[in-house]
Amino acid sequence: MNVPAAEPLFDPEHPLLKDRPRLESLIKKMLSRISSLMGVPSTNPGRGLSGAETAEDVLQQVLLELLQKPADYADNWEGLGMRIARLRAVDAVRRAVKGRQLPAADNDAGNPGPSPEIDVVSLDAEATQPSIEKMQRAGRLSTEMTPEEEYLEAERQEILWDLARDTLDEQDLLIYRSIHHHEMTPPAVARLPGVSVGERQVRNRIAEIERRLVAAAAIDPRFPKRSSGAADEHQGDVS
Amino acid sequence: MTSKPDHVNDAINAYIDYLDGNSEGQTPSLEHLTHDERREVEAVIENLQGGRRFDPTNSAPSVESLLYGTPYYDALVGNRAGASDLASVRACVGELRPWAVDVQIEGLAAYGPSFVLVINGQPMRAQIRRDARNPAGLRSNDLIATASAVYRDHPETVGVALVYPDNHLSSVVIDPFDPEVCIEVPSGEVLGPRSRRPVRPLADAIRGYMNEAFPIFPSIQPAPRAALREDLDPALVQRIARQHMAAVVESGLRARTEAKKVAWGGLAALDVDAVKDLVLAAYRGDVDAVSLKAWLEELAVTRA
Repeated sequence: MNVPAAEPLFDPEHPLLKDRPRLESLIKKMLSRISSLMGVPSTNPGRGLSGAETAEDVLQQVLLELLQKPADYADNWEGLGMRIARLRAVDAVRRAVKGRQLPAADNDAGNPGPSPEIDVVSLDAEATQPSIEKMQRAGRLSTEMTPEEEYLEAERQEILWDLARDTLDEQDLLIYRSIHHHEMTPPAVARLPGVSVGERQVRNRIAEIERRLVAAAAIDPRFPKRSSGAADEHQGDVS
Repeated sequence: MTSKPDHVNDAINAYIDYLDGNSEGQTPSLEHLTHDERREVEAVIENLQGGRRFDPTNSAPSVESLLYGTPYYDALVGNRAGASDLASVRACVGELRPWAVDVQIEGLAAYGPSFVLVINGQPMRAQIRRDARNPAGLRSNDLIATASAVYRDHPETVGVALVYPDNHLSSVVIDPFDPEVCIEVPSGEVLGPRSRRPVRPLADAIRGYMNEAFPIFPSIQPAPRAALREDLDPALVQRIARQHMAAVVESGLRARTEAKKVAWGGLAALDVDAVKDLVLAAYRGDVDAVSLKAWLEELAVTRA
């Protein structure tokens, strides 16, 4: 028997629909998290994984899922949004790399080790193909942070970026963005158009920039203080 | 910024190398640092780790584009330029005397809601710019350039107010020429979009612009005619008429333009008494406009 699909829940009183600045702020942070997990350039969220969704596709999916929750579903919609974003981004990567797993390899002790993946190498230098293994190695899948802490960390990075734009000249801003956010190495940054200093100076500059931003953030009332061991809060069932 | 390397800089760079996978998996040691140095490096490391998880330099798509075609889009449209925005704008421009202002919701763009302010029948447009970083950001060239599209799509618009959503609705008004590229005189420099007006609360910004673009001049009350009659001295009128006619004739005789020389110089032949009588009659209201015109023509013919 065919069961008709349930109509998506639509609550015009949804707190996120009624507070547009809050919704836009959350969307920006969720996109940032999704782009990071999917390994697509954050400056171009329209890019996606080979044969799979783009970061924007996943963001749309996450947003709809969030808005379909009843208005009283969560106390902390920001935390819930970050959690759904994380799960759906990982799902997207899993779907994209499905079928690339090789048979499990045995290690020296005879125990089955993690399955190596077939890597897809793009001729497009901008496209980085993620894998679950790479994501784990980079610590991106770390669950040390609760979703609420992830949201606060995204907030911190936005404030740091604001401070950087206010205080740095064009070249230092490029150095900061390339190393701090785009994970480029100092030698690679020294070769960028718009950077007129060598690797050694790039290293000195990024260290000084980071120190200056730490000092500026310490006296910025908007910058959320870091605390360890934040308590988990109920986020509803999301799987 | 100093470029002198020190322990803290070295530790920061060692951690960046570690994140890049260039340190054989070993977490850099901070043991050699003092307590304060270690705290500073740890703060930088936390920022670096966070920066690899989140990139705020991205550009998120608009909420409308993400929700288009869903019931949520309609809810969003229902919320657009909602009652609170409308009430805020109305409250700010409500006391814009002597102008009468009617505020209407126009729509919603990616940057925020927009309104039409009909001021004494003149349509001005106000855009709440949530994409501005702060009130001063309203004067950025990028934002000013967007007003060009408003003038293109709505040529009847007399001004575009860019509004920052703070308590005072800080605003800057852009006129039709501000967003356009122009050549500055006398420097000859090519100028891009620019703002010539300061950022002010919405009502003050609109008041300043309207005073500039559509000034309302105060009416002048004429002196009581009876008082004029008593004070007017025919001999004085005659003297003034003679002085002015002499000045005009002198200018005419010096003129290089032949027509001017003939017309102005020819006034020398005019009878000063006749001019005095005309002025007195006009001043006292003894002649109407038609009679006055006929009198003037008669004077001109007489002179000729």
